[in-house]
Amino acid sequence: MKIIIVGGGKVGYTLAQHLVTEDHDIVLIDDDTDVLNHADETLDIMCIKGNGASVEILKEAGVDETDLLIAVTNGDELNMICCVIGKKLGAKHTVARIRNTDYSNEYKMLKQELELDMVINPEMESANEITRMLQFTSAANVETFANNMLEMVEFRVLESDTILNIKLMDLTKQLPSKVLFCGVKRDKEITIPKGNFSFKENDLVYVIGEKKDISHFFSFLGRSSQKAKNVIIIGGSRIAIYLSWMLEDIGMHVKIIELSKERCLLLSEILNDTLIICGDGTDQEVLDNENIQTADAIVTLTDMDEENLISSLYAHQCGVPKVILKINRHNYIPIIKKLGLDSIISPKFSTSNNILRYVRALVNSQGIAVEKLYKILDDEAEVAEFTAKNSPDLLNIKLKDLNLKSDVLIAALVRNKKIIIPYGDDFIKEGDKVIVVTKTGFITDLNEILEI
Amino acid sequence: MNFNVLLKTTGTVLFWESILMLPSLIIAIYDNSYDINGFLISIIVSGAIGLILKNIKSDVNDMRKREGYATVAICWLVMSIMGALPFYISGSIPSYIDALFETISGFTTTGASILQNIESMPRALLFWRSFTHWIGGMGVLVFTLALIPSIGGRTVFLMRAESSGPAPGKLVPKLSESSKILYIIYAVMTAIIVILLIIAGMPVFDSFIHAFGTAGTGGFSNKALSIGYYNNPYVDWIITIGMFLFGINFTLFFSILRRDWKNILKNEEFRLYCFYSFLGIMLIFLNVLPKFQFNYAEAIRHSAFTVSSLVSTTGYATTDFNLWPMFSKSILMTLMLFGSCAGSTAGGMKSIRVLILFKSILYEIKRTIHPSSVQTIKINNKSINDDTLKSILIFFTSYVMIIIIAIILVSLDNFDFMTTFSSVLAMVSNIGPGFSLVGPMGNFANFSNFSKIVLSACMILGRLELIPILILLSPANWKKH
Repeated sequence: MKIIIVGGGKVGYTLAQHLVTEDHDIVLIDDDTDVLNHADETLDIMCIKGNGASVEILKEAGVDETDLLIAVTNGDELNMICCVIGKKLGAKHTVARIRNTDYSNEYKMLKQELELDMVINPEMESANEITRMLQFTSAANVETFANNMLEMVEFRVLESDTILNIKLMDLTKQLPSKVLFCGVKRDKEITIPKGNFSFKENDLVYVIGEKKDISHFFSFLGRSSQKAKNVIIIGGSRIAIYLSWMLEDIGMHVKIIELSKERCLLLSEILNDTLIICGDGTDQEVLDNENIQTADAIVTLTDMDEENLISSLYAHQCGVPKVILKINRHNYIPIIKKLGLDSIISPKFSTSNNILRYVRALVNSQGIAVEKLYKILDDEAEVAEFTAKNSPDLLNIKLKDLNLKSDVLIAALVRNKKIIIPYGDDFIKEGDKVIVVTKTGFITDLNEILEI
Repeated sequence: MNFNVLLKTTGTVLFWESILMLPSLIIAIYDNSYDINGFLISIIVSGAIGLILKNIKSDVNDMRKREGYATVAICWLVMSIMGALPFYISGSIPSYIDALFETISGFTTTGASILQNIESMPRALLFWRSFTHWIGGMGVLVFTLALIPSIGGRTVFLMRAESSGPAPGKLVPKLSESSKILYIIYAVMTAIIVILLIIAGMPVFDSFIHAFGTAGTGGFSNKALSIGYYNNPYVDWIITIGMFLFGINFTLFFSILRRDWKNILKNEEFRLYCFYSFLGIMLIFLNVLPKFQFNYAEAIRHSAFTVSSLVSTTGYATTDFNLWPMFSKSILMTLMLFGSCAGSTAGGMKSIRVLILFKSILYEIKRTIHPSSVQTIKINNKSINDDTLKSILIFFTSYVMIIIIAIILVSLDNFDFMTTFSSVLAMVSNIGPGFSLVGPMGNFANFSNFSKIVLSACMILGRLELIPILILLSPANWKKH
């Protein structure tokens, strides 16, 4: 595909880096020479210096033959204009990053009127992600599939968990609800667990199922509090605003600790039920005064990675059950994970991830049968969504009788808008949406999951 | 410095060189001439070394700027050393230094020869000699980049180091696609010249030889009298226009394919190139008119041919321009220094650099008159940043310094000033013939071995535009830490 990326910042660069390895033709537009030089020297892409909203520059980039225009500059308005002009000049699809809170309720209209194919708001996405995490405090990360009907939850196995050292086939019988284990990361090795697999302490496990079933599963694990009730947010950034809105909606108590008086005033104007505290979130006394020990969760969202880390570590020490921190610099993440903090949010990274998903889906919808594609387990396994048709070898045959490839798992079926977590006696019907987990690499057709 | 990636790339280049020798081997077998062994051994040796080095494990991400530049320099040296083998092994050039000079002259598209009796050479060697022009013109690494699938972004340094001009750019986002397009344009244009020459009445084999020489702007001929041998106005005009076209930036041909005419006509470098070429033709035409007894057709034909030949740094001749008046020779010498456009197969300083230098002189004058004025130097309506400007000034300075050093070294041979000066200039600019003893009817056989090595070095320095070789020679580059 031919893709134009406007804006070579962290998001633009990461996007270019990933897309070029997936064999797309990338043109990067930016007006900073240093940014372009760096990109030109490290990536096999074409760089054009200039304003991405200018017709001349877009034409030079070959916008009329472009499949996708992605605008990720710092300015929301610039991104919108880029996309509008790009579309008028012949770009087939457009994606704009729009992050200002003022526009947050207007996406539908913006998408329609500006003919945007996708609007991405990193802060809102991050807030969404945090909200999901707070709903499953025992999970490190939560992802949704099949129009949010299905959730995939990542959690670390603890010593106290009831699933330790039981073979998976026996465990399945004991489970209170229908969930499926679709991936395990032990040390650095990724496996798709089969019947005689058993969990060990410290495994990173992915489990898929409907929301309520996953809740049941976690109470079965012996992890008590599911939902956080008292949440402390440190740093009154844009994510904090979105997050407070969302958390207020689902009835959580939110406190924001923010250093700047002006910002506090602004927050108090926007937010209704949230308690706003003016103080330094890295100051332990301030935190103690706010009874950090009794909080169910703490989310650190200041602009400084280091401050977030310090506050989080303190909260972790005080025994706060759930600590989520925002990190901008991607290279910090492995170090922080070593310190025992698993729940990390990186807005720029999730932005580029989201756009990448969109691009992959776009590629897939152009030629092959995959409808959606997600990467999990540090990009080493894939979750792909297919619609079952024309597969006589697969349809109406009990799953246990299918000769599947060893690293393939049928994780879920969606039939008539209902989720089926398939066990051996279930079978695929024509028209079902089939969600497949695989680590064998890219599958382009549902028939490929069978061993030939 | 990461050696693995350097050796691996060199291996790839050697491997391809052995494949590129195959057509010559086929000709040798067809003619059953004495040089079959020469080609056979060279192909086996360079193919074997190539295959061994090619399989070295390395990470392309180790290819940083300095590795890229050093790799290109090393590749050119090794490639020339291997390319000289057929001449040496077959015995048709008994001295290895002569054979190396001839090969380097071929790859760098200089076209200077030490052969005194060209017509007696077997056809296969003549074909190889001219084919090196064609390969070297667009670049061997660009060729391999077109063939191997994209192996990561950093290979862009290979292209930058090998292509001419201050800022070689890509035509399309993917480097390998870009190289492919360049080579396709190059091959198609070469084929057109071959066909036109055959139609004009040149023998088929000669047409190939001269098309390679024209396309690579090299200048090797299989006749001692060069193009003058045919004394055919059609041939002269085809080659005149051909040489001129191959001196144009290839991105402009790509613009033609995209029907982007505006881009071409507004391109300042192209306009300057046309301007000084036509001005040169007119001045020389007027100056040599008396010599041709006021035969206008003859005078314009020879002056156009000679200007096109020297400005595109090809070096073909239809007449002995060494006998022309001094004014004509001075004009020719200036054009030799300027050369043609960046991104072409030609040598010289490149008209874009001339343009930027000229504009920066104007800029400096204006700044002296209006000390607080703020201006930027613009080419094609894009501003030239200080880094580019600085690199061009440094390029020009090093260019002049290298010419001076080479003149001093070559003057040990004690030839007259015109011979010494024009031979060095002709080598650094990759032209071929100079004036006086090294004029179009002379050759380089009389130089000492030492001078031949100095001149060979000048050719490679000129072809790779100095920097890669200077990087290769700087000790800091080789230190581990």
